[in-house]
Amino acid sequence: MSAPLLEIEDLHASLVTRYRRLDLLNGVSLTLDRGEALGLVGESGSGKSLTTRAVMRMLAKGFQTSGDIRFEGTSVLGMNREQLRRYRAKDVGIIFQDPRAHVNPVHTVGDFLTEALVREHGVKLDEAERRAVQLLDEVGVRHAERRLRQYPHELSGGLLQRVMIASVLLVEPKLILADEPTTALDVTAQSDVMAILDEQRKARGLSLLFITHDLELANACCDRLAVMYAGEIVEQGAHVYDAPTHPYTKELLGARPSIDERLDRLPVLEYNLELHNEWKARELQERELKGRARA
Amino acid sequence: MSGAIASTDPLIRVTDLRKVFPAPRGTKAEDVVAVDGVSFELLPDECLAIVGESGSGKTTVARMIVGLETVTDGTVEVLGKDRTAAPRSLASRRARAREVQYVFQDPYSSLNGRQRIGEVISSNLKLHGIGGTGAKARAQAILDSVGLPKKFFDRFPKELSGGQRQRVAIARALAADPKVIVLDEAVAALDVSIQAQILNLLADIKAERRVSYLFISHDLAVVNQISDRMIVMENGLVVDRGDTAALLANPTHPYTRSLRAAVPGPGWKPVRREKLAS
Repeated sequence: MSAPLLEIEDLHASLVTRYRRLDLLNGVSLTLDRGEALGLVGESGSGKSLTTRAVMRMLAKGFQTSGDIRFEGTSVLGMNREQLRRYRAKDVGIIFQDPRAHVNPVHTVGDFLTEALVREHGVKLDEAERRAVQLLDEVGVRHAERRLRQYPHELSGGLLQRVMIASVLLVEPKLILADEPTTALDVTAQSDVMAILDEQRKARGLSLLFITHDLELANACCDRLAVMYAGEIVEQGAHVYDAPTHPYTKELLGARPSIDERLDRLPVLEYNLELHNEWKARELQERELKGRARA
Repeated sequence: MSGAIASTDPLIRVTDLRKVFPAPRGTKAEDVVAVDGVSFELLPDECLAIVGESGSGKTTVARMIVGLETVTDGTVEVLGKDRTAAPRSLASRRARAREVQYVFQDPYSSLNGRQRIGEVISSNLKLHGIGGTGAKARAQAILDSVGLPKKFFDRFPKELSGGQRQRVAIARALAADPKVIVLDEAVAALDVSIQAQILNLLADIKAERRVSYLFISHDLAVVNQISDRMIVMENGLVVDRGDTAALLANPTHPYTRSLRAAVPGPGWKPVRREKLAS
């Protein structure tokens, strides 16, 4: 059996300043197979974005990390400069929540789309533009040739996010990291963008790590879900949405209003750090018992 | 204040409301018709939702009602008074602030970072001539009613989380003791757990204070939870309207149906509409 595409093993990340130490990731372990889509779900501050940044090795200075991240068996944390540059440019593509914050406003859409192809893949500019037009067309952008000459401010949020997706697909990566790609969009644009991402990913056999706070959306687009709380994965698997076992997941699912049924009051989450620590202690104990039984 | 109106008269009535944003001079761009003839009434004790995609004109309608945007055509009536013209003097702005309050989507930009929470709330209490020590006690009572501890009185917005800030924004609106609160995507930026708390809080406030909500949202699940009636806007026009539960259970208009179909839920899959033209 070949190794998984991406393995995250017992990843810890702490922000250490002169005055205090914040433990933001407390032992995250994940694997992602080729062609698989994994939804990483959690609320603000749970550490889901930090995990993706760690995968890209984009954590800011001042973070102390331990554990390992392996891409096709190679440790990302141990890569040298040149390896890292190639890994970021060719192996992994990342789509951010706010496309407008991640494009250069003084460059045209065409510049943005062809830059990586020309610089990293040695493709001639007119060939790169031809591919860009074709891909824009595939992700549902009309008048693609005209779009190449336009600037980001001339495009709507939904349209710019499609350009973002096209830019990632153009370099033919093996893994796409999508960090809340539809949170800034309204429901119909969200449905569009997710459908495009889903169909393109499947057609190309890519892996997807989909970061979101929306369990329902993640369930619709992913093979497996992992739920994060306080820098840890509390539950993961294909069952999470239909049959959650962890109290936090259950409460999170219950708190979301439904379009079919109106409740008198929405259930409010009672899960907190105290309960979380109790759960953790129980988990450790069980693991220990199992270990002893085996011995 | 306005004892002359009966308890069943609409609090807000907009008739054939239009808003045109003229193209910048010297460009080839065309005028943008953001709102193109919208009429509706907001009744006492009700929550009316305006739903639609980005750019459908829902926020522009609300901004015209509170006078943040000038009206191109049509009329706005609030509590039986003509409020079509934007307020020109401080006095008229204050008068209108007592009628309708506005809660914005982003609790990070809607609070003045240099104002303590207590001042944020007291400034609206002054609309009713409540000042001094009386104001402090009132402000603390209002903080309490939105579920914030009294100690927040002397804090700055930067010390608060997003959910807490949105509670402050709601407290500020309540301090003016308005008849109507406009909630413009007020829970859209919040986490699911916080969103549930704020939706419950809004339901409690509505029941206790008999205030009406104009609730602007693109999230139909949230709209189903909180609103009694809804109007659906597309490209500046009202294309559908009715009782929220009935409209969502059996949407007949194609646009309402497409909005309904885009909401994730059990068994849902994302669908791709036709290619975007613009």
